[in-house]
Amino acid sequence: MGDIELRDGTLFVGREPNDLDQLALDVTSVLQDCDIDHVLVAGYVAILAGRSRSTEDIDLILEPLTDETAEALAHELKQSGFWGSAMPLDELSSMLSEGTNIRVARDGEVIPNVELKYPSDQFDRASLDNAITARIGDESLPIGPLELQIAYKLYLDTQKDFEDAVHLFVLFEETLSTPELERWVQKLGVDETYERLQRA
Amino acid sequence: MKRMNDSSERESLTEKHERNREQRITQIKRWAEYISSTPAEEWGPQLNSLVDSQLESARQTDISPAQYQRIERLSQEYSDDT
Repeated sequence: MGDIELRDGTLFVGREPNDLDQLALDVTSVLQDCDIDHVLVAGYVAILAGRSRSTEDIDLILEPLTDETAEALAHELKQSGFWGSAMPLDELSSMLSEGTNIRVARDGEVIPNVELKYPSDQFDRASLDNAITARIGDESLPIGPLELQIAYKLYLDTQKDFEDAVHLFVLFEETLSTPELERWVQKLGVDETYERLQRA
Repeated sequence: MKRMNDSSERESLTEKHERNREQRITQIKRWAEYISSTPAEEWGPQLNSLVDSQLESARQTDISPAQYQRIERLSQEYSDDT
């Protein structure tokens, strides 16, 4: 009865949203209004799920955009009080196409920001195609499947990433799909790190 | 003799870091167990206070976009090298 659970493919988060969640919710809302498929991944997912740390940026993968949709997105972001903290939002389409990530923050702020990027490998693509829903407050967010997030954290294997993996694994051990987790572990070639996680 | 001391100091440092790492993992597991067995009214404000106060501190540094990008780039380069 901890008010945080993974049930039927949905992550239920019982706490109130914090500043970071609100930024994620607001940017996601703009993307939804523009009918753009997207997913939140990496450290923010662990923090949303209760990991006791913060981050300055939220990683977001979005479906590649047509010039027209990119223009509409830049317009909507500006109208909603956001700016491109690293480069003007008007350059959104060309920068993303060149593989340069775009940082979106509230007007005049640099931190926190949402880093938008196109999928660049099969793992990004899998997060986008297999996104699950996280519910917080009365709102929802698309997040990458937790099994893939854990395996990818094991692949990165910095102290912070391994600790995020421990948090997600311990918290959802009973409801995660073990075959799915182990499939990603094999694909990423992180069997030894996975054993270390299981022993942790 | 000097080399032996250096080597023994390095071993001692490695042991210390390993001990710290294990303690951090234990703490993370304890926190995960706590939030899975405690109402969100208790742990939610603790977590939100941590996140919000860190963001507020970061905002107060008044870092410029160029400085932030430089830090991010250096941090990424360091991660790629290690």
